[in-house]
Amino acid sequence: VNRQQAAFYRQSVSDWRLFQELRNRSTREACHELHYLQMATEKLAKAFLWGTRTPPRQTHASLVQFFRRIATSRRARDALQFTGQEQLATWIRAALPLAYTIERLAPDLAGDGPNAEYPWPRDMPETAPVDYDFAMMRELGNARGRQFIELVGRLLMTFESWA
Amino acid sequence: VLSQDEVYQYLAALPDKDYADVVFRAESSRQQRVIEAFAEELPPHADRDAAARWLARQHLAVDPGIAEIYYLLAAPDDEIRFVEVNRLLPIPAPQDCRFDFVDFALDVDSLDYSLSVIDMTGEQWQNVVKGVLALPEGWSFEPHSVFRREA
Repeated sequence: VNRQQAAFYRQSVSDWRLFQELRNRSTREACHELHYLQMATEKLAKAFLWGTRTPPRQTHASLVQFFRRIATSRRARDALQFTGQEQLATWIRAALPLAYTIERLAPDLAGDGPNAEYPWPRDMPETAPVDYDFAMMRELGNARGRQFIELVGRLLMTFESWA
Repeated sequence: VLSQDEVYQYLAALPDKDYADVVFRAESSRQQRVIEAFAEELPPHADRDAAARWLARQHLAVDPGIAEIYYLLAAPDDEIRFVEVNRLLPIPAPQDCRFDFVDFALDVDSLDYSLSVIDMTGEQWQNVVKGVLALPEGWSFEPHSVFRREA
């Protein structure tokens, strides 16, 4: 793990802790939970990508690429204690639709659609994230969403052994 | 073949239990494709074309966003180059009209090639073919072969 990876990893862990704290609050606001989930996963992805020949660029779009790469990784398979590559791949297959949705929560990728930070549409903002009913929140509460959160948590815990 | 709207209307009208069964079976079938793609072992010392076919099958199986993969044949002997056309990823226009590739950092048993990938939309690929957008320095879109999702 190089210094750039370590820096992104530490920030990802910090964002992830805050995401978990927000999930456990009695009063929950979807936009803040989703914002920190998006931040934590983006930085986890970038922590991995800084270890490759082509470091990530400024764009937020890195999570989907990251999951696709992890699907074929032996080290990730072993670190996550999957018995076969296909087992890890099925988890990634289940995670990718959520990853696509999370990627679009970042304002620069959301276009004029819902994002977790700023009111939209940009030219004439009328909807605040705090007032919006994000379907993603229901996804995170179902079996697939819980599996996604478990996968990200396990990837964070074992980062140094596979990145 | 039903249109997407017809499928949607059919699913929306199903009783809850039947809906759950249909969704579960469809999802299981998709998962099975992933399992089959990843369970297939790459023969030792596979040539580059065989390795590319094997990797493309896995990418198409695992990622519902990839519509097709263009395998660019003009590449160094130890490198596989893919353009992956994606219908779900928000992909901004490349800086200076030229795409960058990413190193896939492959970590796969018995694979002797690196994998370089460019994600782009279908429209962007068409613009590459027309010469409006460019591939990275040293890349060429011809000749190529294409891998598509199995029906």
